[in-house]
Amino acid sequence: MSAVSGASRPQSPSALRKGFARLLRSRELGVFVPLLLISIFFAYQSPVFLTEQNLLNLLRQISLLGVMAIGATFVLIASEVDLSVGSVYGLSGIVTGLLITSGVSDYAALGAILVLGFLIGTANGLVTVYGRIPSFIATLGSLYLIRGLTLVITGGQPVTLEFDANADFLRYIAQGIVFGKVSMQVVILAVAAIIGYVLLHRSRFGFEIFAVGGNEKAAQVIGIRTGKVKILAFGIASLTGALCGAVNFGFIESVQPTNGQGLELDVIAAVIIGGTRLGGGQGSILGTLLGVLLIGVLRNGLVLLGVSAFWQTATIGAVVILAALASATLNRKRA
Amino acid sequence: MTPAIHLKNIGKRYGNLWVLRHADFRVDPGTAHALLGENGAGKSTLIKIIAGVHAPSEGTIQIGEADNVSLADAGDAMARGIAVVHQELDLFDNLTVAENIALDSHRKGFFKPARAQMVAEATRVLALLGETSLTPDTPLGQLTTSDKQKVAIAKALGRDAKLIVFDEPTSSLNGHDADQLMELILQIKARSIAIVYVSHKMTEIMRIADQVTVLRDGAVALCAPVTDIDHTQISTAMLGRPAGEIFPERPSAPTDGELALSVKGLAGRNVAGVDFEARKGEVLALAGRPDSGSSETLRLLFGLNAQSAGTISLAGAPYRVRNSRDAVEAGVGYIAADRLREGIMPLQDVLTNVGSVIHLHFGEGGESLRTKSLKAIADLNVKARSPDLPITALSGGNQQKALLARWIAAKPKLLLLDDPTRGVDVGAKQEIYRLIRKLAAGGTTVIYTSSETHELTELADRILLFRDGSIVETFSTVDAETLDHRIAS
Repeated sequence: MSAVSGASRPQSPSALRKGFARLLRSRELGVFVPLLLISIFFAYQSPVFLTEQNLLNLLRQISLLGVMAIGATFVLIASEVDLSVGSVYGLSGIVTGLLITSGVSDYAALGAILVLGFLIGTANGLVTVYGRIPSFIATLGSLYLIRGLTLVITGGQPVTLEFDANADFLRYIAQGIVFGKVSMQVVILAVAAIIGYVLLHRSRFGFEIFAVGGNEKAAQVIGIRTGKVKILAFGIASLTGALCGAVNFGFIESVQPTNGQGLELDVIAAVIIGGTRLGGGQGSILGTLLGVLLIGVLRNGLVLLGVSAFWQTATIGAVVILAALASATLNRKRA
Repeated sequence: MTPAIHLKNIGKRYGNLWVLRHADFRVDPGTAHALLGENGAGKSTLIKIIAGVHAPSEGTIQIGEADNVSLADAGDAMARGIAVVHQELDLFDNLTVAENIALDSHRKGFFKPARAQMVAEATRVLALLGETSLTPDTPLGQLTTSDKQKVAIAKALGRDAKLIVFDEPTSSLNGHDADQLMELILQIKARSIAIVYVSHKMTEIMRIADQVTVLRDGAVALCAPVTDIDHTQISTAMLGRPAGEIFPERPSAPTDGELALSVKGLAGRNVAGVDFEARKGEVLALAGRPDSGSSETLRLLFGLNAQSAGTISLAGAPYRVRNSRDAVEAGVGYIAADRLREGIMPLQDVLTNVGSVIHLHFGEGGESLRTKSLKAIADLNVKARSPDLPITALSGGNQQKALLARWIAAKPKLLLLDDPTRGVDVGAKQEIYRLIRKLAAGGTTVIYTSSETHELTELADRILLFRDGSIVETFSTVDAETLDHRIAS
């Protein structure tokens, strides 16, 4: 919620002090400080880290993770979880490729895949809400179901974007460069962050997500349609998965049907590191962005230092645990 | 005068079962109407009809000038100026005070209100309560129950509520906070707002109510101005007969019996140095407000709360209790007030629930375990179609009897019961009273707490009154009205 305070301009010294006090209390600080420290460490250790080229590259690398993490933030704050987003990402790349290969325009393919993504999320939500089963189970099921269908559709073979395929728009949003150096993927992340921020922190729908995640029964009593809110949150999460799968296809131009396996865990890790409470009710877009950035900086910096990929994975694991411990300790102190 | 609300000849039926029938309930602006009744008497049904949650099966509702109103849902009732301050407070710990006040499902538009606007609104409505110490930006989770309640009331006032229903508002407040709340309700009344006050605490009712309605078995058993009636009339109306007839005969208290329990300087959370003794076969009641230390004393004796000081001896031997296992093995039993979370094993059947203590702690198993458990079930008259049904299939009263059976099977020396009749119907209550007496006659010492004053005065041999973690008074005989005053003061 402190993201709100950051945006409003303090009018007087006392408002400034209050704003600063809110900033100090904010959950985002818990991820911002480690992010800063780790960045300083890498800056000292590697002359490459702070170069414009490296930072732009780093941002490009985390963009799609960031977009999906924004989607997952909605679901996690609503006190649910979506494990299927990696499978949706995989399916989306494959279907986009197949549609374009079969002559569908890239605009139409993108449109179709976004609708499909949203519908899959809606289905996850419907099963969770009306089937009254934990979303962990419902989306674990769709994780396998969607991945299996992806393998069935492709027969296990990769799908490639033909060199002469008519996919200029897709190539542009995936590979394009703006302002001479910024990847379009970063622009997509920025747009997603703005939309996510407005939806989560400024709209009535976002307000209701926090209410549902904080106390579902009370939300029902005051007349919030909690099922609808949750289904929409699932829809948003899957939509971001589908978008990113398509963009990734446009970027690497050839995807395996197994693409994106385990991605859902990276997404959840980033959101949790960013201070969103797994039990729901707390979190922010700013925090999620910082969480994604922390993961990106860690990976990038460890590569620059020549640390093996195996150790990178272990380090991220340790950071997840530390972040969870830090936020649990903070919460206890506040209580 | 135009009533704030008038339910006329209201009835509610589920299938063929009428839970409320021919009920007339009227509240005028600026007055408080107390609503009383045992569990299952129809109280919550009546409130849900007022709140728009349930539609009545018969009868009509008048709200202000408008007659024959049908409330579509809770939101509709809210829009007509009816607010309910529920016992469990429908608020959000993860949101700030201002956000809690602003959150409203009937707001239109895409955006939520800006923070500054929410803060201004919160400041305005809190000021209506004369409340200036609460900061609108504070997360609600950091507030005390009493402050949360103020937020809920402020929210109602902010919506221009004409009628506010308080559902057992003091049940989780300490004496000081309850007192403040009473003052607040009197203030609200003075603003010509109508109050429905659900409580069974006579002192509170006498202090704030103008009119009293008692429901029993879904019908109005008593409706009178508060000035025309007394304690005895109310309890007789609630129970359907004089309270004395509900409770079993008390044999003369065993004043010279063997000492069963001796507690010296016992301290722990909410308990600050408690001394008392109990004899074999004695029934001892611990009275006091929530947080006064009475319930916590039971938890200390059963090893559920950590003991910071004091010595206890049980049947002459030192009793060191680090955890509940020590307690059970020393012959102590305990039933918690929160039956669902600390009592039953909800996924297990009745037989397993009843047999758990003798199985886990006294090595019973096989046929012997089954026989003993079945005997306890029969002895306690637990009404279950089959002992293999999940315990949650039973009524509250029968669940409680099953929990008692669990301990009876273990033949405890000392049985600790924290509000044993909570959420239990009158019939089961009576059985529980008789059982307590029967156990005492067999030599078991029973120590219990209760939120109903009559259960303290009519059942116990002695009453220890707790306040702020210590025993401030002991009674052997006392009438309910006096005890009520002593608890509240």
